[in-house]
Amino acid sequence: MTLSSEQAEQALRDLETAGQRSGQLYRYQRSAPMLIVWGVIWLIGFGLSDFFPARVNLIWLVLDVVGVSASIYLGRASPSSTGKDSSWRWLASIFSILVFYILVQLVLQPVTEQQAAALMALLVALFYVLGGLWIGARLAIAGLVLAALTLVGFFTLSAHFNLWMAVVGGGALILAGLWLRRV
Amino acid sequence: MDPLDEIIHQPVRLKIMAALKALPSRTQIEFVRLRAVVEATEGNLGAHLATLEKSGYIAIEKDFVGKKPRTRVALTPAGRRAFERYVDYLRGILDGAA
Repeated sequence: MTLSSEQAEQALRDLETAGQRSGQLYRYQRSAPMLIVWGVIWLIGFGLSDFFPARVNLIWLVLDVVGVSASIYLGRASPSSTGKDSSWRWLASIFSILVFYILVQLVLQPVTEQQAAALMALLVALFYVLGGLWIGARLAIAGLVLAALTLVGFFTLSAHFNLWMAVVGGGALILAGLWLRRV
Repeated sequence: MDPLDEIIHQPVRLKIMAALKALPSRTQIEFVRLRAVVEATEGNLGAHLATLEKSGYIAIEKDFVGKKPRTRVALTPAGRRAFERYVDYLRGILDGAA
């Protein structure tokens, strides 16, 4: 059997489409556990921050260590599409967010605790939106929803912002993670 | 030029091979996920997977997650090489036509 150039072109298009779709679903599947882990961390962190405001720094220090450790473990457990360990990328991303979080506060100080919390949430949302531009629309949508929920809570529910971020922010991340796992 | 690989050159099997090739080496994909990618019915996909497995291009693993059966598929090294030869064949046709 011989193929025409049109048939060959069509076959190449078909295999490229299937390959891209498969790769995207695989990247979604790899990202999902990260969102779920950080969703649980936000649920606990913002929740405890609301009940124990004097211990905010300690709460987030402990939880961030847990989150970073989990991210490294998950990055190693699930290779990238090139087969390489991607844990360093997650670590570098988290570190970058933290650095920019500190730098923005230095530039804009004085910053209230609520503003600092909203800033971190918006930086995380930005990270997911930018990641979504490379990985797929679902991640970008998750980032946009997270940003919108953060702003709603900040501007309309300031008295209960931590609880809002715990339930709605943490919950949104968990749901986004579950959505990424779906085919 | 190598002859056309008739095992791979079938629309559904082509998509299966392309979907598996897009994953890291030895990575398995679950049946339900593969079905979403190639957009085939369960029976149709199963039949084509059997053909590819018989040719040594894929490896199928079946187990249980709790009580739920799970089927996972991965490309074999032979399958990877065969797919690369098939893509080279297609590109060769286009280069020859150019």
